[in-house]
Amino acid sequence: MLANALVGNRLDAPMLETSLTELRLRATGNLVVSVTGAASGVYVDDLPATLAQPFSLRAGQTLRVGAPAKGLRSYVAVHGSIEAASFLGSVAPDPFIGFGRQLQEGDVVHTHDATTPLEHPQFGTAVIRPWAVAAHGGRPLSTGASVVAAADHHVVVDVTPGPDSAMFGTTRRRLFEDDYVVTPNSNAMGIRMSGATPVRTKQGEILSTGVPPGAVEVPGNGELIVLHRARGITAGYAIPAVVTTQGLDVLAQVRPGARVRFRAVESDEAIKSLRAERQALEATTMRAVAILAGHSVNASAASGWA
Amino acid sequence: MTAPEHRRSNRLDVVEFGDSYLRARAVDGSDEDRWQRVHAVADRINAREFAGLESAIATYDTVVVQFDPFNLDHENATALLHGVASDLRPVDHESREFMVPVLYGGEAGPDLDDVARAQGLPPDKLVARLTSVSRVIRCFSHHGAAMLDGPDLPRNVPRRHDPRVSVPAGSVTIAGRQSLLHACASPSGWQLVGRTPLQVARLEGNSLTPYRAGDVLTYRSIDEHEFRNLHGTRLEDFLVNVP
Repeated sequence: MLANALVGNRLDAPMLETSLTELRLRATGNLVVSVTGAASGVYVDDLPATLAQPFSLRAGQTLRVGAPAKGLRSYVAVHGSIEAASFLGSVAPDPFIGFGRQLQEGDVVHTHDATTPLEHPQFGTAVIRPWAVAAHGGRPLSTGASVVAAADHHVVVDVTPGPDSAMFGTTRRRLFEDDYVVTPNSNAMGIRMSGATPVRTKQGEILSTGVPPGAVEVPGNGELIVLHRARGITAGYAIPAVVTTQGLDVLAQVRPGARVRFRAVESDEAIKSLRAERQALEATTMRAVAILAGHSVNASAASGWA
Repeated sequence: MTAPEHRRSNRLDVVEFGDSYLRARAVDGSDEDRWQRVHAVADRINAREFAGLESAIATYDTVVVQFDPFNLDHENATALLHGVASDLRPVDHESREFMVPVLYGGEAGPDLDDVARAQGLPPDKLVARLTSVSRVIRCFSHHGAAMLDGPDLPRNVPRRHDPRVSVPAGSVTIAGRQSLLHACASPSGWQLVGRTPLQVARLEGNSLTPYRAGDVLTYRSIDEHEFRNLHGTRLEDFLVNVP
């Protein structure tokens, strides 16, 4: 969402995600783009650009998003957003139902509108700081960098109480007493972790229910699963905790082998923090929109500037 | 005006479920009543009739509701949800029935013989039990998979010790006293007894599958020849009662 905010898009506009690998994109028109997340570096024709800052990409230039040294995912947003097929309100690929587009070398991605050629002296400098609005009551917006920096140590992930917390008695404390290690069989259904898990002390059949992304399931084999977007229903498991919406953003950057430490928060704190982040994102978007609009007024006058 | 007994019969036990979800369990009435109630609540929420209540997943006696945490908190989302439950209308859509051709046993259903042996039934008698009754879709399990009542068998069907990494789209699996029609390929720890050649999922329109909870599936046993002939035909063409 930050990548979209930085180029003045709707926060939920389609954008590109890349996991683990380097991504190279050549612009066929003039674009304003931003890159956030775990990328080790961002380059325009091999000259360094800044992560989590909007910048101009002229027709013919190549954007390189470096493979992450730590962390997992990076995001590329284009002002005006990109074209993508939508199903049930989402453009996100879902390998389980066979929907969505995975880019291959040589593919062409279309942007929604032709941006005015941008050649603005301010772009390339830090004109839109994603943390500049932190004074509005939020903490600095995560650019992915803080998570990535922690990825070698333990990553702190907030959880709120689960609806079945009481079924685990005092063993629920184990969630917060030690690290969990992310295991390689994690996917969009769930992120699996090994460690000392809570154990159900209160037995009895539970009928299957729906679950939010972030619900922690304890199948009882020394693993816990943080269920994610491609989850199904519970299959009768009790839920001792739920990872917060912001905690899921943190988990999006963990690789197998990463150590995760859960931290207990109350749901009203989680909502407060989420709202502050949203306010900061919206302020960032408005700032970007204003700057881009201000620029486009002068577009013809400035077009000779280089 | 809502009579007090009416309100009581619609009671939901609501608890928080993370920072932007609630879990509501229907607390009184028969199993059938509670199932109908949570699905009626989910239908209204999923029709986006209530600003701030964004989506709902109903199963047996429970509906899990996603709310917009930027405009609601748990307290007022809960109040809104109680309001939905106290003002339920009769369901406005008829239950539809699909006749689903299934090839049992062999490569399509490699666990059929084991399940039959454990039940003390010859495989063809097991297939007869699986195909003789129309079954209601109670809810979705995952990726459009229809969760059905039954089958009526002498014993509970155990799950596999060694779950499969993937069963193909169209698979029919059973465990306990429930069965699943898998709309998409997915991992499964249930016993794989057969497969329909029909195309169940579709990536168009406003739902992944042509059926919804409350619709009825009736399985019909077919041979390999018919399986090949029907391969890729759409499930919606096998609607029995067009309302």
